[in-house]
Amino acid sequence: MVFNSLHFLVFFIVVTVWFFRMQHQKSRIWLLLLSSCYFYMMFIPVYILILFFTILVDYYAGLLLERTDGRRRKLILSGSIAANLGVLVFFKYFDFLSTSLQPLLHALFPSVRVPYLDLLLPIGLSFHTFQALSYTIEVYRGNQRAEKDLAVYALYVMYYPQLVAGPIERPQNMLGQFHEFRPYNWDNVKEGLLRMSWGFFKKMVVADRVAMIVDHVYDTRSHQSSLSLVIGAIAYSVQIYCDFSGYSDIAIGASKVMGIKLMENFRNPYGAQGLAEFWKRWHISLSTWFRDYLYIPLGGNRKGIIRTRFNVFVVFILSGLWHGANWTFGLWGVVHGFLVTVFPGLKNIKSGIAKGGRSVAAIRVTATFTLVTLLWIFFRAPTVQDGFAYVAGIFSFSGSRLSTGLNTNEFLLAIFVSVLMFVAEARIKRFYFRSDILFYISICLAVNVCYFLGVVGETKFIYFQF
Amino acid sequence: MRKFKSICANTVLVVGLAVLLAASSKWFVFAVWNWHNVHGGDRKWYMIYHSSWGDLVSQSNLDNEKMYLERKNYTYDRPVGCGKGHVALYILGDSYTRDIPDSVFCNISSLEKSRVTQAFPFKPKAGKKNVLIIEMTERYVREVLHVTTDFSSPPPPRRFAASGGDGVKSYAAFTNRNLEYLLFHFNFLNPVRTAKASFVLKVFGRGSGNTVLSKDTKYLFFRSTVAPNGRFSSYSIVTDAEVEFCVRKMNFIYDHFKANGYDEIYFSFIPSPATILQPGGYNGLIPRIQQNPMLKVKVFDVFSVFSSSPNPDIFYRKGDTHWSNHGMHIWIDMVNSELVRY
Repeated sequence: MVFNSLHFLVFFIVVTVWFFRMQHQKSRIWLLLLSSCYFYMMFIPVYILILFFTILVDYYAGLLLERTDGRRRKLILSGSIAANLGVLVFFKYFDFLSTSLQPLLHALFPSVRVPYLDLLLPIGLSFHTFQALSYTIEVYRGNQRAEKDLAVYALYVMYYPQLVAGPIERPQNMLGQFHEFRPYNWDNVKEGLLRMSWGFFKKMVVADRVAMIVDHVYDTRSHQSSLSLVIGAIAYSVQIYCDFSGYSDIAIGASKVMGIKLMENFRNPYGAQGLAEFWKRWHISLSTWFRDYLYIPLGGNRKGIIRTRFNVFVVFILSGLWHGANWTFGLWGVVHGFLVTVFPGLKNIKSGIAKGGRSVAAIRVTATFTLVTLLWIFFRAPTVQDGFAYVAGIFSFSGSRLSTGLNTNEFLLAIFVSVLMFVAEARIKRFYFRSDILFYISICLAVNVCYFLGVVGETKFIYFQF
Repeated sequence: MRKFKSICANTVLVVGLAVLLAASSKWFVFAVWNWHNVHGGDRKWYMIYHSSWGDLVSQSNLDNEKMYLERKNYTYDRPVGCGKGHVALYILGDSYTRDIPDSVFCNISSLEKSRVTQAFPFKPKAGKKNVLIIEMTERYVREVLHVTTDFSSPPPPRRFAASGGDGVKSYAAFTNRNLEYLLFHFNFLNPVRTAKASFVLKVFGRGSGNTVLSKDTKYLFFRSTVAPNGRFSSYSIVTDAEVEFCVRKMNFIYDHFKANGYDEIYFSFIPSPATILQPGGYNGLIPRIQQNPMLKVKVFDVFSVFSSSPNPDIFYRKGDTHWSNHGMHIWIDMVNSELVRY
């Protein structure tokens, strides 16, 4: 089930109303759990068995970790990690590895033929795997008590608003909230619905509209002028941000309505003044996951400058491959890692306003955005060769004929709503109106804008594929 | 006030659950659909049948745009000089041939039809000349013939395609469409839908939903048939290996049915409207298959007739993926010219 569908709208209304009609937290847990199963099973029903498997493994691993001392704890943790990563690697990376290693294997063992499984990826697999991993690691570290209630733990992994595209939550933030009975709160409902409306606006009006430019330019790349390629690349930067952060807004809003707070996933990333800062603002739940569970265990910045940079580099490579089993994602991660670690000038640039005034800050923001946009090209391109061809096309300076796939009116609208969105994002601190009248007007306006100006269909969110 | 809120909440809950449950039930939705087709308005659900203004008009809600409105005008008169005969005709086809009755075919004793994407339920009749026509619209050719990617051993054509290669997302899409149908299939809501579609057409110059305007804006096309990529498209790249595979698969299917007692087997590919009406950039799928020297199956070559016509507009309806009455009769005449030989 995708958020931008009528199915979700009806589902959300039913679940939320039912949630507040229930007077016991236990019943609410079961309602949310069963709803989440229904939500997940709308993709490929049988894949829920994979989730059940990892849930059971991690639940019992958590219990065992709490009861065990010494070396056995490490063994249990390793078992849990192996089970989770095993599922992830099997479904997501098996075919990638088999096709990548096939030439080598063929050279060494001519008779060996690794099968190509062509498996469909369980939706949101990388997200809920990482969320599940954070639970067992935190229990192992002693930062989190093992959850005794299987239903609560299952809900932690399967909670429908963030099940398929995050934010990747931590047990410390979620498990306590699931145990607490939260009475109906009109302020939460208002804030949640406004946040959802904003997410729908970003997805339906901005992301899906600029997606038409992106698809057109990428599909006809070889016939496009440099100017069109530049526009296409910028449009993809806008699309991926609005698509993914729009999903996060809807997830956070839907959860807020029920009084359950999810972590923020974005903080105006295109306002960053350097790549390192960009990564502190983009997909925060993933960046912090890698920081806490990979970068710090590798030694973080405690083992000298070279080791620190190596650690950062490893994190970026894995972060790239987390997104997908394709060399494009690997390259994207490698270049990000390279730029952050090798060019310290791009790293940790402090407040530009303090150092060099607004104009310097503006230059830094522009430079960072340009760099990020160029690297998104490899994220979007189907192959590395296509990515390089796209970049070469930009720098061939081949004319200025603009072909966006949209007519002038719609192209101008796309620019207008994109600018409006970024300006609003930079200014809005909280999605809340004290006045009920203002709230109702905003919701009516959002519904009408999304319906009449939105690209209504069943377009999926980009991050669903991860 | 509290009691009123409680009643409202319970009502929303019960109605919402009922709607979710009903939308998940194929049986229920089809029952409502049948009721609507009898008692409802002009618009038809899904695109299983040709709607009276055209399936693309329905899908894009462009009911107010006169330039795309062209009523279904199929006539099924018995051809002059046609009589009953001893040919048992079987058509494994799609929506193009679904409604064609047996009365238009010459020299036949029976006509049996099945969808090309489903299992073939018939057995050849003893003492009859058994003639099988496998008809499919161009956008399904690659999908239907590519059940497997294994180029060396095509599977038997028991089922040509499991679910159009799209079975995975179909349940969610099915439920979503059902919900839309159950909640919003009311005539009083049509003005909102048509207003949006007309707004998009006039201000943004494009179609809505799954439709795309032709370059000269005179026709509506099904989006996937004009996409730069994808197996349904007339413009996506078709490799020689793919063409060869289709040909080998057709030969394989021919042999299969021959071995099972059919006397004659014909294929027929109906070109997508975009292929004929907007031929620039066409990938040449149909002619490349039909002209392949390896092909040993007889083909009703509608493509050549349509594409060589100086006035190709007459073969398709403006707001529909299907052919016009004229286009259909060209195909029927081709079939009859073969049937009268037996």
